[in-house]
Amino acid sequence: MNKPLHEQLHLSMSEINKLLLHILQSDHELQRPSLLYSSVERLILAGGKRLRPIMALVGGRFGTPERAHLAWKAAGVLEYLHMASLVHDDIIDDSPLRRGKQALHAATDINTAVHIGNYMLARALEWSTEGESIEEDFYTGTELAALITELCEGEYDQLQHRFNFNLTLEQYLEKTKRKTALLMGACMSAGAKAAGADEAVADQLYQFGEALGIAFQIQDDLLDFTSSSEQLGKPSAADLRRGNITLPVIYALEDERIKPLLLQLHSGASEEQFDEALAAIRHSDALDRSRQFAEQYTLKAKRIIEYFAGHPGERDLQVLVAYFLK
Amino acid sequence: MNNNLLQDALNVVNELIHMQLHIELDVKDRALYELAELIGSYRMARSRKITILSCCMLISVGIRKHRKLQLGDNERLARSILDGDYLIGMIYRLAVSRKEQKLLVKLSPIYKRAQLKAIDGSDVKGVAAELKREVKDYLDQYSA
Repeated sequence: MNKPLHEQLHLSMSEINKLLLHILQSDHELQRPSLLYSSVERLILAGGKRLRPIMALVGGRFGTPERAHLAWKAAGVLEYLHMASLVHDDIIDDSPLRRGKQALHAATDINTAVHIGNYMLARALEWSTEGESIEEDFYTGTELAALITELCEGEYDQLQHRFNFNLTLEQYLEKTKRKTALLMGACMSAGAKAAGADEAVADQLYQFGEALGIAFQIQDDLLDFTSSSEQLGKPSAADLRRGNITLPVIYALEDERIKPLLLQLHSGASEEQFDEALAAIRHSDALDRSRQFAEQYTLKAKRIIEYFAGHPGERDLQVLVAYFLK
Repeated sequence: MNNNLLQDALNVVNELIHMQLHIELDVKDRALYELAELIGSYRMARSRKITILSCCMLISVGIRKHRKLQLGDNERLARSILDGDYLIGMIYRLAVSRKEQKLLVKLSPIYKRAQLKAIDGSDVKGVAAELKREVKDYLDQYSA
């Protein structure tokens, strides 16, 4: 069995978690014990793949060793930004579970969870500009925070296109870029820039991360059709039930036998109607076509690696591609 | 004159917000008028004054959006969460693009403390006074 991604990249998961806890624990204005403290701590200890900080740290290897610690700063901010967005996404998606456990808003209440998400974002940004090297750290926090608007635009798109079965492939890709791929691209380039890599290198790493991000989102879309609720740690087939039009649905709509089953779906459609449409998609070629489409993006990422031929970080990029190809 | 400054800041914010999003901006806030007075009283480029006031406007409106969530209706709830997130993100986009990043060192802790107060159930009125104090401190340091 393959080693976990962080081990393949010689990164310590406990160091990453320690950093995330440090951001919380070093907030001297935060009361302990408190609901806020225990909630954020619980979110951190619940774990996760930590793909975003891992990507930032890999990006940091394309800078200079003297500035490598600044890539860690980017890694911390990015994971907090991601965790905060998950808290808000779970409310927006009305999803009661996250990684098999109660989502934060289900464990507290919606108002509290929204403010906890906000706190996480604000605290990470405050932390990123603490310390002596404020000038150097500006990119890390502030430019990354500027991405929030685009992440939101991806969410607005998704909201606006619920049950819009006329969504085009181009629109789907645009939404996917904003919602997921942009942040993954930013992880790679932010780590690199923070660590002092030049713009051209950071730009190539952004393209690399963005391509992997699109592949990742498509694979995530596929899991909605192929995994059980137990495997996902959240309700399966939730995307379609919420009206989120993902790539398998777009491909299934091209099949004249499945199209009518999909077009009859709406927020008030019956469980039987959703189950029938889901079964039809699962038995169609839409899933395979989606997998092939995702592979095009991992191949694009592979081609970008050629730019880094001979660089000590080249192997790390290969490891990332192999991970996303799984 | 400071009404003009407020209007110019509102125009900047409206231009920045993606047209299709239709985010409502309620800027009828005494505290914003006072901030416009304060910022207007400093000797500095008008474009900088507008940027600083725009950031103050965004943080005020962003905080208020999340204090008034529409809990009964998922669609409206989702919109109000996203609107608040979007407005806060816009502060960073605006400040970074107009080279006013140091203001963010002041604004991030204010935004954080507003969340601490909201979670405690305390009144967020103190946020306006803190914003004015921190902006004054920023102007004293960086208005030249």
